[in-house]
Amino acid sequence: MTKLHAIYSLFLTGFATYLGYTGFSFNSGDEVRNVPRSVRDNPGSYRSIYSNYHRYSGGK
Amino acid sequence: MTPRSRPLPKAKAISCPNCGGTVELRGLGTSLHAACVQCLSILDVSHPSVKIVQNFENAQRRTPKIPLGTRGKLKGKTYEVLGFQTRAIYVEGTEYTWDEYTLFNPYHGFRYLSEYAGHWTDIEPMPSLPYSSGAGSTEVHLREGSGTPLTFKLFQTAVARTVFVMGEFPWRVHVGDEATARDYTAPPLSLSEEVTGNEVTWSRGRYLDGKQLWQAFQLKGSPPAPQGIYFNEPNPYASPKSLWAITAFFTLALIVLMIFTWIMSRNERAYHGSFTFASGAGEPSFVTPSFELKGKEDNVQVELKTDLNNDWAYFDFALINEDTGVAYNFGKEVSYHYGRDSDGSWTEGDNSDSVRIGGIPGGRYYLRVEPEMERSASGLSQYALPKNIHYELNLIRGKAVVWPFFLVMPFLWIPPIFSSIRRFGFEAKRWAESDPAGAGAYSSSSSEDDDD
Repeated sequence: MTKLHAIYSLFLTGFATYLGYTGFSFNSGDEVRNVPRSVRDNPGSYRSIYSNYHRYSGGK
Repeated sequence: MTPRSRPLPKAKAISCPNCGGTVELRGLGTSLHAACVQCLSILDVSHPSVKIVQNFENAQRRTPKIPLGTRGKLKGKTYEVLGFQTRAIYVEGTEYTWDEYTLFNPYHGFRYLSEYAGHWTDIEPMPSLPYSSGAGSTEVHLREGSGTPLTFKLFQTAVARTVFVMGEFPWRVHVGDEATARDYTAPPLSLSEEVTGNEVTWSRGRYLDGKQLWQAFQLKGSPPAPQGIYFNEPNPYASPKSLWAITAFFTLALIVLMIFTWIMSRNERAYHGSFTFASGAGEPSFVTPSFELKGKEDNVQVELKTDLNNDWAYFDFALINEDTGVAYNFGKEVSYHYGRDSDGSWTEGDNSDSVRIGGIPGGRYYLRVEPEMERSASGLSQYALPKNIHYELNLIRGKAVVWPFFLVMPFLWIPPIFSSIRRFGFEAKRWAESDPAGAGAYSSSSSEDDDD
């Protein structure tokens, strides 16, 4: 039991250290490849899949 | 010839002066009293002329689980069952009985077995007397050899009464004998003190597994299943001390590694800009100048500081790699509202917020920003006037991440907490049955007196 707990603790500590050291975040953004260079000059030509869907739902 | 290899002497037989039945004497002159197995009369066998000490009419017969004359090996020595007695204590009007077996080896003397509700204890004479911590102490200590003295805690005080006798005994046994018994425990060991008049007898016991005993005496069937928790029963759950020591070590290690990770994090501002957004005034999106995100894969945090006032805004971001054309899309809503109602004043949200994305490779990037908000609070967009907000945008590379350390910490503590609960739960059940002062115990004769 002691040995098992030591291995378990080592795993948890290593896991936490790995996540902390690599700056892990559950949100990694939605990756889109091959975005044209023209976006730089014409930002309005690029729309992420989430743009213009947002509607505020908060407030008391 | 060693004692082990010597043959065990055979029994001697006498006639019971009460019923004429045969009484086998296996104690080789060491037995003082013997009970006839036929009529249960107790005989004084210490003299050649056997005398009846006690006889009974219609005595309730009890059957020993290990028959008299059975031989078995305990600690490598062969013992024979000579005697059997049942004793009882009375606690809060209830009789609790247990059985005791007298075992004999002509070269090693007597030892005893006791059985209560399927729990067996191997009892042997004391090599030395225990000593108390002081007057009124509920602990006694026993030093054996040069080792650290063992501490035994008082578990129960009661008046024990002999209610049934069969076979031979190395003392003058009578049905109705009473002794004040104190049981001390240091599982799996126990000490028992019995006081009769001016005589004090101590014995030491060790909890014995019924199955081992059945094997040792080659008994048929299986031993009675143990009921409840016995006072010297070993706790089946290991001490959690080593688990706590490991947990303490790794908790400390987590804290050190968390501080190390925090110090080592890049936490570098890659971009900063101040902007104004007017809702409904043309194309809202724009791109920032390019900036360098250093290192290999790491997180990026966008911090927003706005002057929102009872309003909300949504920011759609695309972090675009100039060289590879890979974009990472994400967004953040910032809202800040306040007011007053029948419950008093209230606030909700904040006009500053942040969003973090992980796993962003190093390289040259620019950020496409697209703010969004309602044109006016009225919601009637055709009559609404444009609204302005000012905001600051900070992009941080390699923000320190410490939440995994706090996340795993409780998981680190689960095994020792669980182990402690199990172990202490067992001890709590054991000690719930304890009566050190003997408050609930009284002798059968006193109970009869009370009835009168």
